[in-house]
Amino acid sequence: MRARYGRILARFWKNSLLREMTFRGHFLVNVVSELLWVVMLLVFIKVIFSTTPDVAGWTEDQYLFLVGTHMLVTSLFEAFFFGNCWRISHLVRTGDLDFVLIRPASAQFLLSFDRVDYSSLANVPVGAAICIVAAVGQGTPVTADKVLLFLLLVGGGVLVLYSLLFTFAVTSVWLIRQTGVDHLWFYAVSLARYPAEIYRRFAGGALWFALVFVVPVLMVSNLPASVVVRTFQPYMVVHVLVVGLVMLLLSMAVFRLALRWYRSASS
Amino acid sequence: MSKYWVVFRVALAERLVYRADFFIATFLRFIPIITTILLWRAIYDGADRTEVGGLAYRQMVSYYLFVMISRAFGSMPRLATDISADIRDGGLRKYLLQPIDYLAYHLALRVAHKLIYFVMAAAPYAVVFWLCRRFLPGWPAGETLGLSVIALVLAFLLGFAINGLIGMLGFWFLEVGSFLHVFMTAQYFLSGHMFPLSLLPEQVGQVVTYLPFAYETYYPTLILLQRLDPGEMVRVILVQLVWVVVLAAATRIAWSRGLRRYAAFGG
Amino acid sequence: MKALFRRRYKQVRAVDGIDFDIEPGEMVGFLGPNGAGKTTTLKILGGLIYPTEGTVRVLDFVPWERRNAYRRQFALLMGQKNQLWWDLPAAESFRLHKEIYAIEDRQFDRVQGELSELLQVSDLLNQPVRELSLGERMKLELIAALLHSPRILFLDEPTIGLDVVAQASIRRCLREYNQQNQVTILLTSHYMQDIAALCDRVMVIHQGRLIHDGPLRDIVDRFSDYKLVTLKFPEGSMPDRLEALGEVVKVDGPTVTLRLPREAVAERAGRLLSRYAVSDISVQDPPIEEVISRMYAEAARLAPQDSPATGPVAARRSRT
Repeated sequence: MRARYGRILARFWKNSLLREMTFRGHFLVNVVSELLWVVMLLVFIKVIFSTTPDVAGWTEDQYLFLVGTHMLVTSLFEAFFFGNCWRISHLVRTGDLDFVLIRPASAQFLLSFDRVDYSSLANVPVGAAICIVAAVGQGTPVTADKVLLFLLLVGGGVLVLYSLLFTFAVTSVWLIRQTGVDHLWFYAVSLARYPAEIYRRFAGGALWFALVFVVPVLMVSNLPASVVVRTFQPYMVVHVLVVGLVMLLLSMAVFRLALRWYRSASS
Repeated sequence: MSKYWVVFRVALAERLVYRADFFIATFLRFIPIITTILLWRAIYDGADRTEVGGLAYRQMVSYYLFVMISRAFGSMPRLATDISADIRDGGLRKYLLQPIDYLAYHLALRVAHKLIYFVMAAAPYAVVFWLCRRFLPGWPAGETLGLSVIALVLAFLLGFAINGLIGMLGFWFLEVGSFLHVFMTAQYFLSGHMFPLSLLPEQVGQVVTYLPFAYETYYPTLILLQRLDPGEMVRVILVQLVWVVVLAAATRIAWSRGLRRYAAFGG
Repeated sequence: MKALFRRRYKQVRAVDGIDFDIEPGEMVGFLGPNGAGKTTTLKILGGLIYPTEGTVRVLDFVPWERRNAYRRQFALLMGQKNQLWWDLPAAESFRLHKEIYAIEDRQFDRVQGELSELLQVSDLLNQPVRELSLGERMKLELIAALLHSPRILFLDEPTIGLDVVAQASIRRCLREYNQQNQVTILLTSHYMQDIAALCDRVMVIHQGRLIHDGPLRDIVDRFSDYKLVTLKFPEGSMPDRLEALGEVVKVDGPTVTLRLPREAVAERAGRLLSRYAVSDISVQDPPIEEVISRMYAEAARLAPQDSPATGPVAARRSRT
């Protein structure tokens, strides 16, 4: 009798919901602060575009769409994976990781999906709304295949982020650092929120290259957005999905290595 | 007095443990600045004018660099959460039994942390500032330098008073962290950390200047930027002083009221 | 089996030369001072640690390969450690367990019901775990461990920190469960009462070495050379020179406790009874703790000094 991953997932989500309901105020506050943030962001955008018709070639509507996409991608990651990646270093430290390792199911699965943060999930419709407003504002026809492609790439972006942060989190088996998962996440979010083109001018494009091919955070929001509101190019799809899959495999390899080390030296 | 010196020394030892990690972390802290500056580069490129919010591109870059310095003085990470945690978990009791003033104790801790931070961050900051030297205004006149230092010290006290006051909420509310989250989001905008407040439309800008947040970051930054004449600088300092006194008094009052409540409920 | 653990620059042999076989249904206790290697042994059996050398087979599996088929058949319970979701009722954690271990509905309901009854926690299943006492939590943790009807149960200090009533309750449950279901139980504990109450067989580990493997009774016989005889004299008839009777351990009102050599107990006790008017007499083994400490002292005395590896020690551990 194999582990029923679908049912385990459903259980995780239900347990998280039950837990969230015991902290109702927390949910509300997160939603409020996120809305506040959105308002501030929109003010900032208005301010920017009152001075210039485009930012690195992105018009106001396109930029707005990017903002919405970014919100979608980051909210999905925060809802499903951020807390779990963060918890990993905690589990390693307390030795409670042992209890995950004795279960007859994939440890990576159990660790990655354990909790859901519903207050982050609440930001998903906000991001979607911004995208819709921006797309309509630009007059882009919202066709079914565009939407599907968009969702596919958003998923790909989340996959890239998950792989990146999970790998980072798992290295806490070897290292104790000051820069935790939450720090890395903060920087990833900061970097990914802008049009990729703005990075080209820095250090002769070296940063751009690093952020697209080495630590590929730049495209998690840019490419899904480009697919809809800017000119679509097939490489965009391939790039996100290939990078996503490669990084996922990398995360699994690093995890196996980390477990070997953890289990040979733990006490 | 000497007990605060001991506190200082202990904090120093603790911090030095994280040395190498610290260097990396400090450099990483500049990432959001870099991305913001690159964004502004793109904005200025597309803009139909050389000044945005009264600042030329060069000055905009310096603005964000100097914001880092103001924030280095004024930010109080975890102060409010530590205080409210002490209140909630009963850790406050052990401080009440000791012949030490709780708030003064925290102030001493923060002074220690800041001093150590400055010593250790001096090198990375110096490197970054040197790399960006062409954006910076020339070395300030002695008078300006003196007033800058005063403004920064007051920014530190102001930050301490604000966060201390929020920490006091722990006497009345269970989840101070949630409120803090909303507060930090708003502060990011209202303090001029996100962008110079001069970019805001007239009326909005006016309202914001009546709040203490602008005096934590925005105005000290303008002083460092040498955008203010001596009269204006003195005015800023006086307003900072007023806010510090008001908020410190409020914190004290909240402390004694809260303590009465705390004792009544047996901790 | 030798297991070498590198800690920074000092090699510590956590487990060295441990060799045993355990049959199904046995209840085995691992006894030893802190750092002796008990928990390490348990973790190796659970597949949580790789040994550097040696063979281990449990239920025909190699534990550290961590096959799902193996992991489905054992459970691990550690004292003062939480596996249940803290903010939720235990019932929800149990349901999660059900899915992870793929337990059938009927079996799940039956086992949950039976164990909750046995441990008297049926009405606590729907209360958030954080609201419960340590004893209650431990009982629920035990239920969680048994839900999937494991064939082997690894218990690491299961009753530590619990009050006397909870300890007794858990011991009773384990005993009954073992008798009913033939679950093999491996238990480490500091508490003599756990070992004495539960384990037919005790393995004593000292500095990573196995120094005794057999019934608890044997340890007492092997390492104690005296017994404690407690005499109660009626009012006013306490003999004057108690030391003449034997080594006096304690005098408490009309009650005297003497330490008498093991071989001579029957004879001496008989003489005492015939010579004096005694209203009550009892003969006891020395406290097990004392016996055990003596055993450790012996073992420390005999242990080789930090010698290098003398060659691999073949080990077999199998349960069918």
